[in-house]
Amino acid sequence: MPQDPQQPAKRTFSGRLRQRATSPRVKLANVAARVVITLGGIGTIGAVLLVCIFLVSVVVPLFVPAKVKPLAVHDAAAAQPGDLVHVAVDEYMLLGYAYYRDGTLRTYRIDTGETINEQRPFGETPPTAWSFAITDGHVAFGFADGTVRHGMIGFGARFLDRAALPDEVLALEPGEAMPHEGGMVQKTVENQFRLQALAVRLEDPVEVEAGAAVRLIDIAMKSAGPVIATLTDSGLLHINEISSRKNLLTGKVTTRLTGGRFQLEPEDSRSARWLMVAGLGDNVFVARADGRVVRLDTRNFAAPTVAEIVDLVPEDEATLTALAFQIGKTSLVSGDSAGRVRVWSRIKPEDATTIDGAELVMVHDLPSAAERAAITTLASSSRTRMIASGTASGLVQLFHVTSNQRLAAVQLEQPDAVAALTLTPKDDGILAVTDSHIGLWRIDAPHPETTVSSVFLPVWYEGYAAPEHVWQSSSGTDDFEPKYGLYPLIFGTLKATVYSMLFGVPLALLAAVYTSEMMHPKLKAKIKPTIEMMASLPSVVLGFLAALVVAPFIVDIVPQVLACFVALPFVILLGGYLWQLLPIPVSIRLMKYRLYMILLTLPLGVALGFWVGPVAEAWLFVGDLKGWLTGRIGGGAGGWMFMMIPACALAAAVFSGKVFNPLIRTHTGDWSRARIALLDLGKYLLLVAATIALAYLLSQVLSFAMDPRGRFLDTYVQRNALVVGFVMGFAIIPIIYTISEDALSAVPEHLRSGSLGAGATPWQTAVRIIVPTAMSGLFSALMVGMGRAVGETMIVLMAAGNTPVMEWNIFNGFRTLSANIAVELPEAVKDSTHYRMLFLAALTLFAMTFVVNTIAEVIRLRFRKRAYQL
Amino acid sequence: MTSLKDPPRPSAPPAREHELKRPRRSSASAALMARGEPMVWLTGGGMAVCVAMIVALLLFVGYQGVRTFWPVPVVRIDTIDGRSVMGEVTRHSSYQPESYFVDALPDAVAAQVNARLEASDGWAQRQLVRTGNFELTGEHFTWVSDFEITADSERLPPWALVIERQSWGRFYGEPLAFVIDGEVAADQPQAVWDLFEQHHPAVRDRWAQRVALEKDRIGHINHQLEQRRLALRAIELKQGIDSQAWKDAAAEFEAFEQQQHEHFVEIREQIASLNEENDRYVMRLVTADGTEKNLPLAEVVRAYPANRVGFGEKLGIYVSRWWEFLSDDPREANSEGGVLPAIFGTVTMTLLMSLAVVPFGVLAALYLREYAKAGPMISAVRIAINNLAGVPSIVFGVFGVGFFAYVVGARIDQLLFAPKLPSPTFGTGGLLWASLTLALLTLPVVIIATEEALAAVPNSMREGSYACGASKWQTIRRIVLPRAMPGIMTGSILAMARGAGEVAPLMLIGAVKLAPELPIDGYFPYVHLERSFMHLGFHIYDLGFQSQNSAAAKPMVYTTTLLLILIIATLNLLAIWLRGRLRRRFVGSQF
Repeated sequence: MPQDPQQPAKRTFSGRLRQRATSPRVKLANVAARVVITLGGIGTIGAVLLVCIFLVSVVVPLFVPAKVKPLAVHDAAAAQPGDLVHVAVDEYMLLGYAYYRDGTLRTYRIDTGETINEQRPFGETPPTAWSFAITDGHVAFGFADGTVRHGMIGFGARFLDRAALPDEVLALEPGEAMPHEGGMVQKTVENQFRLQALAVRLEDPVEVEAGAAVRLIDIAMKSAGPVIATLTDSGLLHINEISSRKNLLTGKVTTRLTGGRFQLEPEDSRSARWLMVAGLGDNVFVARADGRVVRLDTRNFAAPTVAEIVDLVPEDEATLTALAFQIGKTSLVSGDSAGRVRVWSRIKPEDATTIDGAELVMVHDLPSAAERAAITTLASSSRTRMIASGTASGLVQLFHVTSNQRLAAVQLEQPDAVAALTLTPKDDGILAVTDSHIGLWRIDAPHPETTVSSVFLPVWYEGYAAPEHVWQSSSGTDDFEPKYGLYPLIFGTLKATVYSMLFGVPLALLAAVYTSEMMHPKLKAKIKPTIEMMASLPSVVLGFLAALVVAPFIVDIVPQVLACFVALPFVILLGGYLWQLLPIPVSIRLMKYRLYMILLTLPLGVALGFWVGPVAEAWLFVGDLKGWLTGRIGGGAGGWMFMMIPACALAAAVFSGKVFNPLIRTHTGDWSRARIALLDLGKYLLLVAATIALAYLLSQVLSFAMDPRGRFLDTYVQRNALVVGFVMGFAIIPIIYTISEDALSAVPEHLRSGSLGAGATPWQTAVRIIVPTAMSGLFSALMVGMGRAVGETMIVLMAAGNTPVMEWNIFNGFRTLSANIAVELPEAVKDSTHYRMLFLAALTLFAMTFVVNTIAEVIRLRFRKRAYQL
Repeated sequence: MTSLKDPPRPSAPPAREHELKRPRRSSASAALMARGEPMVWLTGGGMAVCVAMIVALLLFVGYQGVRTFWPVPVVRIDTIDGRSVMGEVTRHSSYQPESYFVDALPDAVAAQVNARLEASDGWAQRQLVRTGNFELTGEHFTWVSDFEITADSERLPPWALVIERQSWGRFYGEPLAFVIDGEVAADQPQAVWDLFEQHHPAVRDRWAQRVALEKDRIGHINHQLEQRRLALRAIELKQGIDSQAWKDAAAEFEAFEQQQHEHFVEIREQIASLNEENDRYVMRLVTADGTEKNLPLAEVVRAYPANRVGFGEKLGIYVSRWWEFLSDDPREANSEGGVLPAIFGTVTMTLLMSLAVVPFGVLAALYLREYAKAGPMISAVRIAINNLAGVPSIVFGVFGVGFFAYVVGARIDQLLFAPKLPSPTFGTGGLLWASLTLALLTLPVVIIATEEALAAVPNSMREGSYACGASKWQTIRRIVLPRAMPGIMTGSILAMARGAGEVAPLMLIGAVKLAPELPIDGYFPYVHLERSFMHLGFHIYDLGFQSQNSAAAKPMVYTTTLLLILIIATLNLLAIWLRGRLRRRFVGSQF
């Protein structure tokens, strides 16, 4: 910067005037670098944080309450020719039809209420009974002369040729609609013209019972053909299968009824108000206004029998005012005069007393408004487990059954009773009709089935005997309900973590202690990078080896492998006791070969395991471990014994340290070293024998109390937690090892020197000085290893079998959050509930590892501070 | 015994005194126990098990990977139920045969077998023979139990040929005749083999020409047609289907299509003539069970008389198999042929990822270490970044597919690739999104490594630079960055190694079983970032788990695994070597 000549020249430190100015290029570069680095840095960090924000933003809509928006309310009274029976709306919410008691079928525009078409398909003899199916437009009507007709009343769409259309239709803007040819024509966004019209197709009448008027009727569609149940004035309940056969020569269609009848009790038949056939035709329900429902077992149509009688309204003061099926026609939805809406399912408890082994049980008492106005009408969704109810006071409520929540409620302006109610085929609207008005609302409830509790707590799904945690996202059938309970997946994740930590942590920690305290620095410089490199071994390689090499290999030698877990430590320790027998000069000279000696004991241990395995199998598991595990043969003692050995070994070690060693120390004052070493060896062998004896005793006692099978041990599956735990060890050992070895090495050298200088042996130094000082570092290593185990994907995906079972059995598989995402996300439709649930799974995983890692990080920082202070 | 309520406080000093008075001898027992030798052995045992696990794993993969391509003799075995099996023995195992298996044998044999089984506690030996000939037998492998083999039937047929084919996997058979133009030209094995060796190279050349024609010329025509079709669709979207412009373009398109069709027919004719020439040469073979099979020479990729080849020829076959593996496209649902597209995809993806992650990682680290004011905010960010290094990779994959493909990619499609909709261009998994996802995943690794490298540059050097009058940026550029460079490179290479081995996120975002088109080719814009790609890691998963015939694919899995481990180990060793250099340089630069 040029100096201002007016100012007296400033004296600088060196006494000379600054003569050269910083070039503008340097300054510019400096500013530019600052801006670029700051923006780039903050941007990058922001991008990383975006991951979390984006996951949350995808998940949040799962838990957003449903929104209901009024679309149209118009006066319906003018076109009301009689009592309304049924209403329906097409999937584009353009057209609706209403069916009245006098047999009139009126088609009208949804948005204005204007009548487009009115027809009387039955002429002058209106039906005396009717039934409208939830989903596919199947209908059935019964008449006073004892005949029935079934068929379809539904909406059909076809595309029109633009050449044949009048100008006013052609002038429509995309999305607009107008009446045309008895239906509604709409110009789609692809510039096509789609005509939506009512299609009525009714079969010829078939006689059920001559002369007796049909009072109630219901129809169920089986794959073989329709099943129709009728209740006539004579009190007879008919259940019939309708089969039509076409004569190939004459082209004449003959319709036949086959089935049976059942004489109801007079009171039941007289006051019956609802008759319903289950979806498979295997049950018929006859319900009265006082709530009494007779459930008939009609698996054999020829001989219906009463299965049970249930009171749907146990409260005395209330009466049953509405009854409907849920989708699938297996669960009943009841509405009563006190405004309660309940869902009743047939479940199969083990102690059922009915003839078909099923019981009708209330599984959901939906949180209906407490205003106690009678439920007048119920409507089921044709694609999900949603239910709409209308009350006498004009309140329309929308429920989701499985998640047991009220999604929305709308109060009509005029408190008239809701006469008819329907949910649109795409579940995006509710149409409610009262005596004076028609109201249409748009529902925005994309994920009605998920609430926080439905995701994390047990849920009572249709057909289940009790509330359960289930993850089952897809199935072959249409009316299948996806079950999104995350708990089985979280459980699987925890199981994978626990078993792999059980295997990996002891090994990694022991190895770290040995490396940092006992190993020669030169060897350490070679071995540590080797183990570190194992950390970058691709997990897909480990997974592949686990599933295609380890699992098939282990499956034949399970007892041997299990025995190795006991035999290896035994042999290694034995080696240590034998080493003690060497005179001091020899042992010091041989010190540098110690690790190779230890390596030598491994094959011995494995050999011992392979020898002991079959022997132990014969002794404990009747010679067939897998057969024993299925629970078919043998008693529970063997399993207990195996599980008790580690605990007993620990007890023996403590006993030895607290009791034996002081004894030896005080009583062997003038013994020679060799004699004591021999005594020590004897002590060790004695303790091993004592361990086994103790484990045997305990197992005998415990096996009286309970059998371990079905809890921690159960049927052997080839891809299981044992394999995953072993192979995941390859993934977590290097991490735990590296971090804990770093922590141990970071303990200041003066502590080590001080301890050794005071006469402590390396082992004493390690155990009493180094490990306690580095404890928090070790703990943080465990946490980081755990974080890796929680999120590991490929190994569990390939080697864990991926069945979402919830049991701690080490010989069974599981399904983790991560594997589940990898399997299902490619197939999930964007923005569907499934898609968002998988994002929730990812977020859960994110949260789990984040918590674990933060704990590790905080501990690590604390440890560092402490290490500096020392 | 003192009561619990009355702690033995008063008596404590005497106890201490007693302790002090005790003569402190260095007894042999105390010395022995103090060494804790058994416990030291236990820790050493942990160490040994870890080392043994790694060594065993690497040796296993190495052994399986190295031996896969080595030619082995072909054996022929007759079994007592009259079958005859010819093929390569792949492994032996012992098992316990189910009783119904033995009962199904002829009575006399069953008795004998039962006696043998009883003698060996029910255990029997069996061998897995790779028999090939999938189109005839419906299986690639057969188990043959030792007790099934008729005595002394096991032999090495001198003229057993191992034939690797273009489709249906391997063929094992003995030559019967060599047929040219439907007439037998030779019927002695030696003569057949000579003719085969004489004609095979030319036939394969013609086959390669044919493939080139199909791939390049026809591919070119299809590419041009697709481009024009998209241009037409773009006009339709912009001007409407009723507009004059569209009608003109449509007519032009039709003319072009017609013209291209003529080209197409021409090429087809060339291909047909090549095929015709190739179809003249057929080798007739007989399998172990006597079935005759005519094998067109064009189908044969490689053939050798397994029991006649010497060590040199075996080595030649071994090398040529490796070369095919490294340089060819996969065949037969990836279970044969090469992995070139997977190598190519892995390398391209890793390079793209490094291009994205290194600059931004370094920027972020520079900001954190040199520019940001230290405070609780920055510590929190640092902890967060540390934590992100431990977030499971699959979570990043979920983010990648949800954000990059479905949000960003869908928007790009709407803006730039509207004619192609509804089939997505960037709106689905692909190379670019996979690279960016992995870049996010490895970003923490680079940031942490760079920060450490920057922190390791002594402040005295910065201060010296400032004292000489350098600006902050000059100091960073000339002093700090060069010193930190090895550390930064170490971090980047480690990030690459992690990225190259990561599979879980790629399964969600772009890695596929078979990508017919490489992401780089001769058509504008040459680098196709939106394409899905093959990846070595995903290839392993796919071969092992998605393949219909995982037994036949298993050898390929080992070689692919070996290749992937080698790539990653190389990257790691490079990083370790760099780290060593950094340390030396760092030590040398302190003053």
